[in-house]
Amino acid sequence: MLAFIPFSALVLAPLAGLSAPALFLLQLAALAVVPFVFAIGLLHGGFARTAPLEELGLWLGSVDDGRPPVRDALAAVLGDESLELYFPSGPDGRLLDAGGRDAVPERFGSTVSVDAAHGAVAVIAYDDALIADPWPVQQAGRVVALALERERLTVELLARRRELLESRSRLVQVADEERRRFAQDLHDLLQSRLVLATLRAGTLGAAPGLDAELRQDAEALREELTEAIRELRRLVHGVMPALLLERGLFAAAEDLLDRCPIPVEADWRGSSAELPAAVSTGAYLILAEATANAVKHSRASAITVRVERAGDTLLLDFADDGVGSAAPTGAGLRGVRDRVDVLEGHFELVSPPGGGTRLRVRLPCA
Amino acid sequence: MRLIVAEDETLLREGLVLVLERAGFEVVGTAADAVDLVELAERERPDVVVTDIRMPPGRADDGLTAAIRIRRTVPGAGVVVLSQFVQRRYALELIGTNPSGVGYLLKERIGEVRRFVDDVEQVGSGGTVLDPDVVRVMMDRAAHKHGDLERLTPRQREVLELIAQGRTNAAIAARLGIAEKSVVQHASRIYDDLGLEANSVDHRRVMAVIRFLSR
Repeated sequence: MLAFIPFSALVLAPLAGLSAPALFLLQLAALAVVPFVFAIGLLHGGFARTAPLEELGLWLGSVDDGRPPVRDALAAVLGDESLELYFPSGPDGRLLDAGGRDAVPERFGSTVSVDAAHGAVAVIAYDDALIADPWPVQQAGRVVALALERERLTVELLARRRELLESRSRLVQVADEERRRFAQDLHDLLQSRLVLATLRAGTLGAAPGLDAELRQDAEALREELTEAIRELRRLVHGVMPALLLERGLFAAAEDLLDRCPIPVEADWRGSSAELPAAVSTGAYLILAEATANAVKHSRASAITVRVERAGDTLLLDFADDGVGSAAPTGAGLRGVRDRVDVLEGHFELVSPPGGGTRLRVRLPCA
Repeated sequence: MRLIVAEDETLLREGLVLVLERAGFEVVGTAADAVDLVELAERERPDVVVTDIRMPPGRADDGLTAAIRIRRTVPGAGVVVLSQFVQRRYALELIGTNPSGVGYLLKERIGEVRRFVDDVEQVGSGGTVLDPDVVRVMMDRAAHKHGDLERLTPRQREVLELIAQGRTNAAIAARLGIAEKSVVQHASRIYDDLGLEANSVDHRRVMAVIRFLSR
């Protein structure tokens, strides 16, 4: 609450020029920012646990794209619904909008800069057809300067989070693309060479008039080569199953579950035909990881999987009846979370001791 | 037997042609992509087509699509598709509702020259040849999915597996080193235990077993 008290004093001081309801609105706007003060406090506390950090991430996700209450309050007070706030960020002071994206200065109408002791905290852009005189805008800006400073910090966090998400998503895309090319190359270059060598060894072994020892050698060579082809096949399949590229997610996932040693009841709804490649690959790898986890740790006797494409969402619901207690921080599930994050999806893990494990993932796939 | 060979790798295509010609087949044409293959097969109407699955123009499953089409447009032509991967689904798509004149083999099987030649011959005569690895995946899947296979003895399971591969009773007997009469007995026990309709026509019994395994 310490942060709130000087603000109250600030509100009381420049009463002149603004009506009582206007001040009330502005105070409400400031109150709405209080949870953020708490979050910032946590952040500055330098804690190491992941749970609060994730909460902060969730909270950032929820404020993303919304207009800040302080903007609504200013717009109402000043009678300009088109009013927007922009926030200077970084050493060069480039302006960001409320969602943390780079703002386009040409689109601004008239502007008023709100300054604090250490420099500008925000720019209020307004319509000078509605507000002829900048003075009330400057006054209102001064009243909410502290709230605007907090807003600016939020926006900076949002911008950093966005950059991080984008760079992770690019990394994953590049990695997926490389997986695909690697699988293709292994297959096209190496496998056909090996098959040809197998054919040559086989032909040699079948040649008439060959002495028994040489025939045996040729046969052993052919078997060696066959084994190499099988190894290569396993390798290529692990990198990127051909079925995923050729028949889509449902076919590849069905094939994956067919090979699972725990009985699987699978339910496929909708079609995976038009899924973006990133979502197909992501969803496949998530299911592969969930299956591998269940086989390795769950001691389950049955797995139920539901995969549903409904409009612009892909739902994955994976449940086993095993021992539960799956740790969301284990390497496998960590990878699943990262995948989900990159695809800006939603992840839910319920795994009570002795109560089985249920993983639900929702991926946007517009 | 008149034969068409489709494979986009030149050396491999020539190798296949050589092996098959030495074994007495008449290779009436070769193709390096799926479009040419379909055109050639519909013109030449061969007894068997041997084709790679992964071929131009799409470099995906074009050879499979071509083989399925040829089965429809050139009645009586057998198709042997060579696959880089163990794809149960592709084998089932190729078979459709009739396993007669169908072969699905992993590509490296061409190195087992004598057996490969026999397999092509069998498909050309209306038989079925499914790769043992593909049948293994089918068996494993069925075993995970329903407990029915547990009712079979290990020997019966071996016989079932060989039936699914398209082997005749004589071939199964030779393979397991037992009398053909024993194979017939095993087979009828298997049909009883699994509730399958007994059928002496080869491709019908293969279909019944594949249907059972794919439930």
